[in-house]
Amino acid sequence: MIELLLRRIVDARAVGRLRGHLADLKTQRSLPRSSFRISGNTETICSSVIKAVSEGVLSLKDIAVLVDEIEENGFQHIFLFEVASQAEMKALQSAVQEAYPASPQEPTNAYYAELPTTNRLTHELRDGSLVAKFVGKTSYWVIDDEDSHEDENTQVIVKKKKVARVVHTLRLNEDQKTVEVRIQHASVDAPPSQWRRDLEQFLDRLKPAVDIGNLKAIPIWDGFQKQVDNRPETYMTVDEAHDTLTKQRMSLRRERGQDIRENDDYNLDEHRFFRETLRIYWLLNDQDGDEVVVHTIQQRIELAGELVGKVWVSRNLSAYALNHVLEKIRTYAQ
Amino acid sequence: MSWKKFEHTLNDRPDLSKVFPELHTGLSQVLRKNPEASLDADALSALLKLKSGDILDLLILMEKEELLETLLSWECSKGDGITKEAKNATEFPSFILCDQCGEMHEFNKECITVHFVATEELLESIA
Repeated sequence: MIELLLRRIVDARAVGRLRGHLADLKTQRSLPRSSFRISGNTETICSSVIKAVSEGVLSLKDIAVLVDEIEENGFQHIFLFEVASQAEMKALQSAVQEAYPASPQEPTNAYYAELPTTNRLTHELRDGSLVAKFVGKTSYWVIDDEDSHEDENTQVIVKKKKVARVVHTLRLNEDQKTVEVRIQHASVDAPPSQWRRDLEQFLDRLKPAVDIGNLKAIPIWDGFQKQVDNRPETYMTVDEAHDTLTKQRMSLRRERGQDIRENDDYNLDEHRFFRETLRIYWLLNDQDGDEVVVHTIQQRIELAGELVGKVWVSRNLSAYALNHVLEKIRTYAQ
Repeated sequence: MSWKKFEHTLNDRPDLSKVFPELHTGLSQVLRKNPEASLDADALSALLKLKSGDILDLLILMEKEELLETLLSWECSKGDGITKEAKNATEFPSFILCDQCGEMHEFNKECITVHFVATEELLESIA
């Protein structure tokens, strides 16, 4: 079981997060230095964790909470909604709790398998929100270069099906009356539009307990200009907007460097421009005071005939960092 | 190598010698404003109203004297900026998840542009 949990962390390329998590546990529990290693290569740290769990110094849950944080925060397409009243939110939460069983108290092989044999939808509490959590599989097609071939007159393109573990969540925050739908991106090689298919399947699965059609989408695009105006906390390398006469796009010729808004010719901060899409990095300090850079691509999209805001977050993050950025996006949209 | 020393190396290239002062002034202005500027012959030619070929020859010579270094840029195929920079093509992966557009790109040499950036040595001699 511990090997399975560690495999989830390694697959997510989050061994650095594991080191930080282990260091925090040592500090919080005043454990001796020798209790387990937090330095060394991946194999060394994983072996140390396995030993610590077998000796009872760490529990499976200690590692599972990190796996949950990694899988539920980042590398996701996030959709933001709200409800009008706390009564409405309470009704939603009750519906979710009645419709789906509680998540397992302790980690199970089935729950953390690379390819779960069954798709599961359960509920649990997470950071003050009630979360409906889907753990299962999705599939997508990729071109197989080895089996694809061509001759003078014919080109045969062979696609093979790939299957990936995915974790999607619906988060209901009673205090803020906010609803988030977070769809994990299946894999780096999944088609760009895979999220639509996975979102539709997740929303179908949530019915009738939750119907997104009854929720109000937060118009994040109304806050794009305010985000652009917030220079101290953000960084941009590319921007695109239109007004009544022109559509303009400007991007840096370097991967990083001077903020595009510092360029003398940048004028897209004038309030006559409208953006369908905002590509912006948010800069913050996490709970340990470390600098975190959160890359987002925020868009106004159409979903089932309605305009909805979508936030793509390309990296796995701490819950603190992601929640901080999403709160900013919501606040600026008011 | 400083600007002055570099200028001496152009003694046997009178065609470039006469262009060099304008390039020197123009580059100094560009780099004082933005030390990380991407330098290529076309953009500098448009800016300084000099022949692109002459500028390229000078940039190549400057690179030989380690005043500039070559940088390869993998441009986002959706036009959203630079996906990745590298000094050597071998550093580029076959596939990359592009930060700029959020999509996966396959390596394609058509998407690679070559340009120069100033080294510390050049920046110090301008300052």
